Amino acid sequence: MTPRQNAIIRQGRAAFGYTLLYIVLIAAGITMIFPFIWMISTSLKQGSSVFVYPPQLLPIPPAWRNYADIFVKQPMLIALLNSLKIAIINTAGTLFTASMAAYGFAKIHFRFKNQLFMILLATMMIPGQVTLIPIYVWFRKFGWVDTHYPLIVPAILCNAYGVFMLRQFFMTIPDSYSESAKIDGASQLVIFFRIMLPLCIPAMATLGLFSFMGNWNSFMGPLIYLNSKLKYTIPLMIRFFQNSYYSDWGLLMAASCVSIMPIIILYIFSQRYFIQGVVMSGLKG
Amino acid sequence: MKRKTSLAFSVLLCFFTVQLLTAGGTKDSSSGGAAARPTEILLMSIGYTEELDTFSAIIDSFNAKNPDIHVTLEQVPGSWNDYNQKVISLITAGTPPDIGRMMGPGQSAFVSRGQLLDLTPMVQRDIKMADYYESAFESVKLDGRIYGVPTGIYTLNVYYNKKMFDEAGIPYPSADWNNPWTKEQFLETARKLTSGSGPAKKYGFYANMDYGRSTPFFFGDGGDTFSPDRKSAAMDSKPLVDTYRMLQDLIKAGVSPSPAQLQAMPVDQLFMSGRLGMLIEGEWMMPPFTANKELSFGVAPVPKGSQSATTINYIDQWSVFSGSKHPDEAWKVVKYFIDNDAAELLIKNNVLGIPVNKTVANRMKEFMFNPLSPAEKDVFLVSIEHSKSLYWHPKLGELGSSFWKNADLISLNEITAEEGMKRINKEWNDIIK
Repeated sequence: MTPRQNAIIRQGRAAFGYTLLYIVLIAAGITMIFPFIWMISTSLKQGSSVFVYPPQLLPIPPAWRNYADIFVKQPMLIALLNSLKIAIINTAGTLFTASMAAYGFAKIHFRFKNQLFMILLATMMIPGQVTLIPIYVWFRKFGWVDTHYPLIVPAILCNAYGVFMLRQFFMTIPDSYSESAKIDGASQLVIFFRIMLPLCIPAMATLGLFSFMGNWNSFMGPLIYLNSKLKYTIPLMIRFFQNSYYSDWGLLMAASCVSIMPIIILYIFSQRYFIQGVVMSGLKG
Repeated sequence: MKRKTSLAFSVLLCFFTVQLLTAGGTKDSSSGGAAARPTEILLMSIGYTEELDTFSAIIDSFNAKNPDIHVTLEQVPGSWNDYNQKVISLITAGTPPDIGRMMGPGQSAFVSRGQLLDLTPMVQRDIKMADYYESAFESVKLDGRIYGVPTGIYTLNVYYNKKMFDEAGIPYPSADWNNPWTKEQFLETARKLTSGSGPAKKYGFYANMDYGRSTPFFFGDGGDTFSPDRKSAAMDSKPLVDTYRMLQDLIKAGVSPSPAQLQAMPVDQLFMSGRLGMLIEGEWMMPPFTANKELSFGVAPVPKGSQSATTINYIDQWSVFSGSKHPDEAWKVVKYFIDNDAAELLIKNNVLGIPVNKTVANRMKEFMFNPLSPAEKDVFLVSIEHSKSLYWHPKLGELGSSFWKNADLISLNEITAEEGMKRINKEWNDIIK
């Protein structure tokens, strides 16, 4: 066989391999995305045509009214703004405080550091149901019931998981970076903001995403603390489209589509960090 | 350098402390000096959109007529469990709502913890029983005391798909509670309605394992879930074992969809798409069934057992929490919910089942439960007289999980009904001991 023929066979094999790979990947991709497509499709169906057989992927005519109805029947727009407000403030706040605390635990030497870190981790072990009522009583004394404060302040001030995750990341950064900066006369704050923080953007992006999603989907906290409907968040508002005996699936799915939109947009723009972060925290965590 | 960092932290700390203090302060000043303002009453409710809109309208009309009281409706989203958890949290924290929506099954747990106000004296003083379905007041009683004013009554009845009956050439069942069909006729009908296979399979009846939903079968044979003194479980008594054997057989024979088949399509959808002939459900299914234009359905009394045709009732009620600071005002609000004006709103919006206000219910029959015929409307109205309530033990949650663990095995045909009910009975007796 001439080298040329060899090359052709190799190319052919490679092409075949790629074709197979793509077929498998496309099939897996369709399987993954199908529930989402089905959700969108259901959100465009009238109540009675949701479960018809054979199933319709493209409802004709599409019931665009569902999307108008959810905003008319319930104050969805206000809930959307409330959720956005809480999720954005909490994400920014968590990133700010958790990164500073994590840096402290990872790079600064002080007394009782390990004990404090243990205490911090211990807070993660206590189930939320146990602390629910004492914390509620506490916030009531502050006059914070039926405000967004109980959902924002604790989330910003004590995200133990975030501190833990970022600390693990900071520890992988060699000390020589900060030491050489110190020699050049940089203060701790300069080292933190100008050197350390830029290095851990992938980890911050991951934490930011987790935090945003966690706050966006949170149900129990808003349920307990909020009383007026105009302060409700999206997960609470969606539940009004469900009831114990039957659900209007079209409306429910339309509301769900609206509610996952920000997460999807966020994911599209930060996919790279998200995957990096999962890989990274998986390895280090 | 170290000093700078600690400075930054103390600034942060100061910031949050100030925020804490000011937030606390502003609230205090706003709640003070309320002497001239009307009494604030907080009414907490769970419900779906139509129900909550109706409650809201009732409260608006109450507020307009009572300038000295101002009621706020707090709409709690989520399931009854979420709602109960929120209410319990508020009670434990010392700030209970004044009034809350309550259903029979949830009530006993609250009463056993002493969290509901005994309304018996107020009911005796202010309610003219002749205007109301007295059996509803009887049904909400616990140890002879009333802890909530019933607003609506739901009963279980047979819903059937008329088109499927026509196609199978079966006459519609009797709508007369005094002359209802027998269990044998009912089962025969269910079998005749069953046909086909695969995605075109049609089922005759949905054998719901839930012991609330299966009450019509064992009530009719004189059975009950507890002994008459309510000290021990009666889950392995003959009427119950017979009922669950019958339900198991219906699933085995393919007359009823199995739990696995219902994963693919919820039972209400199965019924509306013409693939399920009959199901036993409450008046709460009227809104979706009515909204479905392709569905033609009828309602009939539950089949007669060896003793009687007896169905279950569920009572929707408003209770006053014992921690309420304004029980008298709260009572006024609760009472308003069964007044003529409120009852009319409930009927016009078709929520809360059969209104407990008999006068209004009879006067406004034409607005209720459309598109049913007058005879079928009477199936609902008369069912109240042929209904009784189930005893809901305070440890309902535990009893429920024990029940479902075994009932699932029965429906999957992994154990016999006798075996399953014996296990449930033993576990129940251990739980309530």
